[in-house]
Amino acid sequence: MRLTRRNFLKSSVAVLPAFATLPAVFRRAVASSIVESPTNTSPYPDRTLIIVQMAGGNDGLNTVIPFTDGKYYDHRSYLAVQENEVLDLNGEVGLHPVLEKMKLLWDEGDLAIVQGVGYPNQSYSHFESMHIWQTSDNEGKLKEGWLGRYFDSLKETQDNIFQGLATGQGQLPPEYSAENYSAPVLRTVSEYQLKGDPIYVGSNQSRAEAVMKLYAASPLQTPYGILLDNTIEAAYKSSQQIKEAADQYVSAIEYPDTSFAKSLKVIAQAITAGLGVKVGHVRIGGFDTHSDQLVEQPDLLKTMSEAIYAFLQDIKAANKEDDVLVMTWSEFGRRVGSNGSGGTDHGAAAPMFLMGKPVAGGIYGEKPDLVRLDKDNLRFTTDFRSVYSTVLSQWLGADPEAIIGSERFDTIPLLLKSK
Amino acid sequence: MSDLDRREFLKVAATLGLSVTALAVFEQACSIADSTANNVSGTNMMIGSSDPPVVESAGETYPTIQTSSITYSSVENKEDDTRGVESSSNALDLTGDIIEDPIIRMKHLARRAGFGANDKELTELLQMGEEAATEWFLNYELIDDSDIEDRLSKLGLGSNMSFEKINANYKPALQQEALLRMIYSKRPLQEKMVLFWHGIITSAFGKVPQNRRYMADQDQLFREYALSNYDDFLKQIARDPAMLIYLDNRLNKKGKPNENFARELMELFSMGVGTFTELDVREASRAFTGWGIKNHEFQFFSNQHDSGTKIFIDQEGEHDGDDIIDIIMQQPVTSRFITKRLFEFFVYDDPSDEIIGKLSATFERTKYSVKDVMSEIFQLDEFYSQRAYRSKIKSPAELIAGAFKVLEIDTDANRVMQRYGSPMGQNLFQPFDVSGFPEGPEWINSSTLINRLNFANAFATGSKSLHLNTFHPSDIVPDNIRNSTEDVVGHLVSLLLDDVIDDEERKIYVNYFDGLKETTRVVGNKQWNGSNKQWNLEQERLRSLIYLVMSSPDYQLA
Repeated sequence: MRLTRRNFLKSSVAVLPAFATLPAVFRRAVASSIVESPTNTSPYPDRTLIIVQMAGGNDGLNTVIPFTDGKYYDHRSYLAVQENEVLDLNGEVGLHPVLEKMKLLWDEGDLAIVQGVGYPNQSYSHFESMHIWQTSDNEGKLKEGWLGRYFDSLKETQDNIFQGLATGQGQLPPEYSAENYSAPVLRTVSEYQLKGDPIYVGSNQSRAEAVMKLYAASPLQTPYGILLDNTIEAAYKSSQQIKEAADQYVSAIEYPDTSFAKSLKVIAQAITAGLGVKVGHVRIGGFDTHSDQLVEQPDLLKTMSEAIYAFLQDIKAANKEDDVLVMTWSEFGRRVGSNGSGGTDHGAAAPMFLMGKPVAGGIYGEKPDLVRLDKDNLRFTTDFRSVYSTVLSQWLGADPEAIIGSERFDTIPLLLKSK
Repeated sequence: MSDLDRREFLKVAATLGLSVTALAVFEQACSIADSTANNVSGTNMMIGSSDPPVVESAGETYPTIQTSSITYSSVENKEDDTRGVESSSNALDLTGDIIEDPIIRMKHLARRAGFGANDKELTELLQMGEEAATEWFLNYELIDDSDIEDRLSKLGLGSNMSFEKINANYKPALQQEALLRMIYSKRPLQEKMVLFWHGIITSAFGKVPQNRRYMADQDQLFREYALSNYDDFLKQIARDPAMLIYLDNRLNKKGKPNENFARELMELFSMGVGTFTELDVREASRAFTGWGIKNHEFQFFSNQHDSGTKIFIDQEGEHDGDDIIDIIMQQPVTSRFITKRLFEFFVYDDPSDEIIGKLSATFERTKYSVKDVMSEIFQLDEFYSQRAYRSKIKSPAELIAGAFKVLEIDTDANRVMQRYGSPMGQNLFQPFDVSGFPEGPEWINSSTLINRLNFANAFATGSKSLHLNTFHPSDIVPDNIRNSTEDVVGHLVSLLLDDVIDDEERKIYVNYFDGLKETTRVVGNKQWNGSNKQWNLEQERLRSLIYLVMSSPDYQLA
């Protein structure tokens, strides 16, 4: 049995006196003096990792393009990006032409690319493969997300609701799934506000308190009680704070008019307001390009890179550029050859991007072999858990072995030495 | 009888909070918490356990109808009555495993097989008795449901929908239609099955053209085949234009196969992930080549079909798509996958192998009859077990439809799903991705919970955005009980929560309602914008209490 503060609260709440103030706050204060918590504290409390999920399986070959390799043109025929259009990085590979903003980051030394990232026994199912990336477990046994386990390992998790923040999406990213922590998730700030009774205004304070008491009183009766109670607390507290952050936020940086850019902007607001965001999560979907790839993928790549660029500019304007690192991932790349209907089917290895001032710009990992394929798919050259290990140990200051699991993965020197 | 059972049932673990022997409870709690932290399952409910006497159930409002047809499957649980008050440490050590109270059983059935029951419907169902009521849900084709078609027709929805409407705002119109069916159809199980299939065999407006009836036709297909034999259903799905577009099979041609449909057919619609090989995906894709669309309808293009030999799951032949579906249906994994999806949607998560084995056997014996499996599910003790009770998070559609239905509100539901369902995470006809809608804890996060509370707020305060044509608190809470706080609370808690809450919660409701009296003088804002309704403290207090019940954690559960 594992004693956690959360669990204790469920059983002890009724012996506490009546709530004087916002019950959540009160219960936290009481509980923290009684129950053991994890003892780890983050050595880098000001740092933030931004996760960008490219959902659907991004075609890596048309993102970081091996334009000097004739095999690429053999395999891709009409889907190939022409050599003269590619944004050359190192004379060997280059970026898709819509990734101009990423090229700007590259020129500044703020873009690191890890090539050929994947894992053994690639799953070609979206959901299974996402699950593997999200839990960092390719045997599918772990239920908590890799970042959820990171949150659970921290002492301050229970006191800081904003450790993990997910924006622009209505679902908790499975990476965040934790035992003792419910990260705030929001689509937009305005939608993320609890409405009061517009008529009986005088009831609102006691009404909110009564709701909190109900959630605190009921949990053990139902399988989802703990989830509901953790969540209501996160909701009440974070909705107020995120609103204040948005109201106070001033920035000269103009973001593109896309919902993806807006979700990054909310994270920038939270960071600049000092809400203590350790990990931010945004998601851009639609990379499952079985058809119409020549139209759809460039649109998505452009949306993504322009938004990230604006975000990093904004972070820089707030003097936080040394504290913010952006990392992309996608559940798999796509088949090397096209499928004949203007698209590509599910594949294997693909590149990951790491962006921001903290990176040591450059290309890492071995370029996937276009000759020695595994049933029409690329063979991966870097395990994604090496990248996770790198950001966990060198950026977040956590112990990767404790979080990823038993196996040890080599780190990659893609970050500048910390100051 | 019914009163006794109710009291029995009410002996909830109120002791948990009040007991001084909290430590023992704490240990139980932690072990539960550990097992339920994430993927909650296997946790038993505490209802029905026999513990200290509890206050009289207040506000009994249901007709106490003798339901002779109900068979009590666990009469031996009566011996639990002898358990002592001092054994509060056993509050979580479940005793009576089967819910016995006929009213609670019926309300549970109505919530799972449909979208809940209002007082009138409940009375009728109880008069039928459980066996006949179950048959009533299942044999819906015998019920005249023309009222709902009339209702839709008057709003320019249903088969009457004009091309102008389809062109202008098809998705909201179709969402409106779906919600109206959930609330007012007299065939609740049919609509529940439609929601179930839409969540599994999904397509979405994001990819399917909006200016055609494709998505509406798919919705009708789900309705028509809601309880059919699954092989017939899958063969229709494979020919459904919305699906042919959504999973790209219309582009799947001889010599240039597109794997999208074949893969998801196996992974999401029939066999489950990890039960087939990549070779199976490629061979199945070949079999579906040439299945496309012409003039907005299914068309087989023989010149684009690969009629060569395929080896699919070890069976060699010149398979076409129907052959692939037949082979898929022969796989035991398919029976297990489908019956498990059904069981988990209608009962609880992570059922035992035994139960799924039993349901799979029925599925196979009846040539894949979904109706026979559903009939068996509704008769299982597990369906009425404490483990099943309130073990599912209500989906946003269930939450919204249920509120209108149970409180008997008249509405045209215009844009209600769009405005309230989407922020709760359910955008009908536009699921998040190809895996359709979630069914469990995914429905709850800080954002969706805020929006569940905001829905309760809009509902209880009569927001115009909800089109509540008939919402008056005085219709919901009868005059003759309004002098007693206990009765008012008891009435609402019976109506919305089966009268199953513990003492601590009841106290919170009572104290809140009483407390509102005292705030009379600090009530601000006596004028309500643009409304001629008089400020009326009694009405506002009732509204406020309705909000609280609808915001409660218990109300989020089905």
